[in-house]
Amino acid sequence: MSKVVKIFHGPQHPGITGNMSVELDLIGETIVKARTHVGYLHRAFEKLVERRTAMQAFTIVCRICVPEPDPNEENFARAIEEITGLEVPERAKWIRVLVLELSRLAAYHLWMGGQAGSTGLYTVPQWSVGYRDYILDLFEELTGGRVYHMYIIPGGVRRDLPDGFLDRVSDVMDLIESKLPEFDRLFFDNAVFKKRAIGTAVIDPETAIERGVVGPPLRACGIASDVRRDDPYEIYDKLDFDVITEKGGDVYARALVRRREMEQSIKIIRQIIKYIPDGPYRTKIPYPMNWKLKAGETYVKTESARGEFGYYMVTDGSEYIRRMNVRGPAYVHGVSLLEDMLEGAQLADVAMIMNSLGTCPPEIER
Amino acid sequence: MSYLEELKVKIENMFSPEKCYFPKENLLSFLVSNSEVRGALSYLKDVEGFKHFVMLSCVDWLEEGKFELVYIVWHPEKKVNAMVKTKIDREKAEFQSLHDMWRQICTYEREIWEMFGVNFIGHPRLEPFILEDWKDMPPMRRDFDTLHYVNEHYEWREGREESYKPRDYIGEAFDEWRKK
Amino acid sequence: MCTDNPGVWEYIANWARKHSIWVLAYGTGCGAIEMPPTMTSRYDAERFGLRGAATPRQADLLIISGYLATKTLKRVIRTYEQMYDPKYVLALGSCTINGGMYWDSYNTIKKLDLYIPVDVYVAGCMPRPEAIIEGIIALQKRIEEGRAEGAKKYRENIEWYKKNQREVFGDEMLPDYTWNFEGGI
Repeated sequence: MSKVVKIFHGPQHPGITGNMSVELDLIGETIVKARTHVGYLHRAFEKLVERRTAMQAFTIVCRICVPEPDPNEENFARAIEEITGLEVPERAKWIRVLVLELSRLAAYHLWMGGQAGSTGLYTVPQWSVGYRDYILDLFEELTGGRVYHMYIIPGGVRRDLPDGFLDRVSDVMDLIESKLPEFDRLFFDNAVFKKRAIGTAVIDPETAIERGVVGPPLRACGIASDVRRDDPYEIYDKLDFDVITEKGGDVYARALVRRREMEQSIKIIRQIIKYIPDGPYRTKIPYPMNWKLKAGETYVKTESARGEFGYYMVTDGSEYIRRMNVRGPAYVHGVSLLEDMLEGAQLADVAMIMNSLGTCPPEIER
Repeated sequence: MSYLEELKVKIENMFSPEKCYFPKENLLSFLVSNSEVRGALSYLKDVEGFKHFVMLSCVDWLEEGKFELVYIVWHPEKKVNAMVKTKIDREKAEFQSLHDMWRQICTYEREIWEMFGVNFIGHPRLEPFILEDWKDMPPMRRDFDTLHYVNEHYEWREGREESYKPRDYIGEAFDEWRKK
Repeated sequence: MCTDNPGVWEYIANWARKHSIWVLAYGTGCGAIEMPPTMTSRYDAERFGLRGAATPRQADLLIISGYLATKTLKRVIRTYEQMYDPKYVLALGSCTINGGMYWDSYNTIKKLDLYIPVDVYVAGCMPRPEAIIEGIIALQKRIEEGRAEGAKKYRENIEWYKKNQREVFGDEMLPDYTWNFEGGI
C-alpha cells in the first residue's frame, strides 16, 4: 500500500493559480513530498528596468503582479521619490490610497472567486468576479485601463479625479457592502467550505514569523502585523481602521481575515471620500528624458492584498536604475512555505491551499 | 536617542562596519566584511530580535569587480528595518550559505546562484529555479547584453525596425511644446 | 478533419463546431486575468458556446494569453500537439504578435506563429473582454467558412515548425512522441 505515485499538478491544470507547477509524490491521496517549479512567467523585469529610464521603467513595473498591479506602481514611485527627494502633494497621497484600497477590494473579490472555485462552489466566482467589474469600471474611468493602470507616477498621480467620481465610488461601495452578507451566506458560512477549510494547512505563530510569512496568512495566526499600521506610508497614519486578526491559522481563518478586511477597506474609502483635500495632484519632475537619479538606495514596502510587497532599489547617479529587486509576498508563500504546507495534505486540497496562501506566480519569477 | 541610533552605536562597537548610515528614517544600512555577516545577522536576530527575514538581494558592481549581497531584516516589535551588506569578489563569486538561519534564504540563494552565478557553499539544493536549459552566462550580470541575446535567438516581426529613436522624437516634441 | 473535400456534411460539421468551442484552461500569461470576467456573469462568453475544458484532449481552442517564456512555450507546443482535431489557437496581446513591451527580454518569444499556427490574433495590452469576444466571433466566422485550418497547416509544414522550435530550444527539444507516431498527428 506504500506505492509512491508522482504527479505534476500544473502548469496546465484548472486548479492551479496562474502558471506554475507543483510536483507531488503521493501515497494514496496523501502528499508525502512536494516540489514547486516556477519560471513559466519569467520576463526578466529586473533586467529590463536596468535598460530603461525611470519614466520608461514605470510603465512596465505594474505588469509584475497581474491580479493587483497598483502596489507595484506605488512602490516604484515611492522608491524614486525617496531617493531623489521629491515631495508629493497632499491630494496625490489621498488619491493614491484611494486607488490602492480599491485595488485591494478588487483583488479580494478575485481571490474569493478562486478560493470558492477551488472548493467546488461555482456560484461564488460568478458573483464575485461580476462585482469586481464595478471596481474595474471605476478604474477605467479614472485611469483608462481596466487592469493595468500606470496611474501612480513618481511625483504624484497622472491626472486628477474626474467630476463626480467620488459619488460614483460611494455608490459602488454601498453596493459592495450590501452584498457582503450575501457572500457570507453563500460562501463563508457554507457548510462545505467550513468542513474542508477548518483545520487545513495550519501555520502556528512562531513558524509564521520565522518563515517570513506576511499579510493575511500572518494575521490569521493572531499576529497584528500590517505595513499600513507598522510603517505607515502616504496618509495611512491619518486614517482610522483596524488591523484584523483571527485565531487558528488555517485556511478558514485566512478567509475570514480577508472577508473582514474588505469591510475595513470600504471604511477607509469612505473616509477618503469625506476628507480628501483640494490642491495640486502632481509635482513638477525634472525633464524625464535625461532625469539623472541621485545615487542612493532604499527599501520601500506596501501592504498588498497578499501581504508586504517590497522593492529594494539602488541608483548610481545615472539616468538608469542600477538594480531593482522585487520581494513579492508569494516569493516566500509560494515556494518554500507551500512545499512544507503541502506535505501531509490531501491531493484535493492543493488548489485550496495555494489560493489561501495567495500564491501568485508572476511575482515569484518576475 | 532612538532605538536605531542606539543600535548603530552598538553595531559600530561590536563589528567594523564600513559605512553605517540611515537611507531613510527607519532603516539602518551597514557594510561589513565577509566573515562578519553571519555574526552580524545572528546578533540582530537572536539578541536584538530582528526575527523576520525580508529579502536577500544581489547588486552587480561591474566597475569595482564586486558583487554586493544585501540582507534585509525586520523587527516586528520595534518596527524598524536593518540592512546588512557585504561585498564579494566577482571573479571567484562564492559565499557561505545562511539557509540554516532562516529557511526561506534557500529560495533567495537559489535565485542568486542562477541569476548572478554566485556559488553558495553548503546550500542543499542549488538547482535551476527559474530558467530552463540556460547555456549563456547568468543573465542578471551587467555584462550580459539581453538585446544581443534576443537578436541571436529570436526572430523579429517585420515592421518593428527602429525607424526613429523614440527617445529623440519625444525629446524634440517636448522641446517644441515647451517653447510655446 | 476532412476539409480537403468540402461538402454539405463539412458545412454542417463546421456549423456545429462553431457553436461549441471548448477552451483549454491554461493561463499562459497575464491575459489570463481577463478570462474570468469573460467567462462569468458580466460578459458571459457561454452565450457563444464557449466553456472551459480541463484537459487538452477535450479542448478545441487554445488561448495563448500573452507573452510566452521559452519554458512555457515548450509546454504550450506539447499541449497543442496533444489536442485533437479540430483545434484552433487564439493569441491575446501585443506580446504574442511582436514581443510587445518585452521586445528586449531574453526569455520571451517575439513571434508566436513561427512555433504554432495562430488562427486569430487579438491586439492590446491586455485585450478587454469585449475584444476577446470579438476575436472569438472572428474565429467562429473563419470556422464556418472552413478557413480555420491551423492544424492542417501545422501537419503539412511540420518540418518548418520543428526547425523554428529547434532554434529556440537547441538540443533540449521536446519529445516527439505526440506527433511522430505512425500516420502523424
